[in-house]
Amino acid sequence: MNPTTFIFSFTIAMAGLAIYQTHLLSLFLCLEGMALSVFCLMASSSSSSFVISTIPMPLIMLTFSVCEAGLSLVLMVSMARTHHNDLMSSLTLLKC
Amino acid sequence: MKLTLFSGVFLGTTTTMLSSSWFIAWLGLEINMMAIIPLMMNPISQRSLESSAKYFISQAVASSTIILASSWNWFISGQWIISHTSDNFSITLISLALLLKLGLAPLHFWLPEVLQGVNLQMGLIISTWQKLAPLTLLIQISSNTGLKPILIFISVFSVLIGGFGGLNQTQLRKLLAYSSISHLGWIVGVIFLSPSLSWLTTLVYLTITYSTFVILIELNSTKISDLMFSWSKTNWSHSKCILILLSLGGLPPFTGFFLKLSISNELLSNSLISMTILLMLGSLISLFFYLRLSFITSLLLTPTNLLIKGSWKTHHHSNLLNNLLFLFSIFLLPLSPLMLSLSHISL
Repeated sequence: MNPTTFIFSFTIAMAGLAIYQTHLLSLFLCLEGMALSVFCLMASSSSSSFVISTIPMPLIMLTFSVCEAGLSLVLMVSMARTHHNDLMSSLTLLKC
Repeated sequence: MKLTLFSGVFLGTTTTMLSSSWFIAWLGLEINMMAIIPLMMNPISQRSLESSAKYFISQAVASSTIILASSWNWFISGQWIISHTSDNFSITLISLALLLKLGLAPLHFWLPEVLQGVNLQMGLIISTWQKLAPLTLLIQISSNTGLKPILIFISVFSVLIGGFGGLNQTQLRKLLAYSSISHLGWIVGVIFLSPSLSWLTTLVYLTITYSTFVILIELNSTKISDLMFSWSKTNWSHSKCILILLSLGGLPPFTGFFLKLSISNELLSNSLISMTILLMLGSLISLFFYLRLSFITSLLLTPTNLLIKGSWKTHHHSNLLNNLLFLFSIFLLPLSPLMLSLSHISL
């Protein structure tokens, strides 16, 4: 597949992250969308290249992205415990 | 548990600094970010959670952009080596992501709030240690001349925003955040001219910031009104405050002056005159709020309860490293030609 497609999908996911509306969960979903499009970019590039040693690279990248997703879940659970919701409008304590 | 997390922070940064491939550099940045988030949430409260969330989002976006741009560079040029990055789109995107990681204007909006929400020890780590890895990568890719307009604009904008943003603050951590934005603007302004000068300036600036945070931790003060009564707490602390703040502002007998002098010298000898004028005017504004802070701390004796006067520490355990770095951050100006020649910078 053409890797230009995945740059486009990354940009759309990042736009979705920048224009967050109410919930923190939508922000983290867009973050995962970005990670997924980077994974597809790496996988399509490595399948069309003749260097065999770059084949496990998308898998290693996916492992670390999953760890990052786990960390975002930690933040969601902590939000639920302390603020009892996950609305973005409750993250305004430090503004002043 | 804390030992594991601190070693993760150390491991991440050293992995990035010692890597020659973008993939390993991205891995180091990810390990670093994942290890520091639980440390930031440590006394769990609404404020620390909010700063951890904002820090996580900004750093995660920057890391994803870095791996995307380096994968695109791999698709175009077939290799992952940092110093041979050739695609212009990749270089621009990677440098913007690294500037988001450092917290430079116009991508600085997360930094004051993140530093405000964590306690002073974590603020120390975020201000000093976390700047090393992105700066290493930025220095390695900055030899590309396509980045010059971006870096000039971002450095001037950062110094101006760091100056004007800190004027209305009463919380010390936000003040230090704006000072960090301003100083990193100076550092990034000279990266494309002389990377070794940029690195030397970074190390000296990190020493000065470390000493500032150590003094604030010792006084346990987070607001200006806490600093006002510091004359009655520990001996010497209010005089340490004024010395370190004037060094941070860049006044001549102290080390901070050497940073601005050498960077201005390098910029002027490459005839970037209006950029130098704007950088100096911006740091003049920062100097105003450092002077205001040092005036309130040391030159004004605020009236307090007479019973507090005797609360000096009787058993005072002094740390060799902290005192040594404090001396370096104040009295190192006469040794500046030695430091410049040790970093192979010709004047």
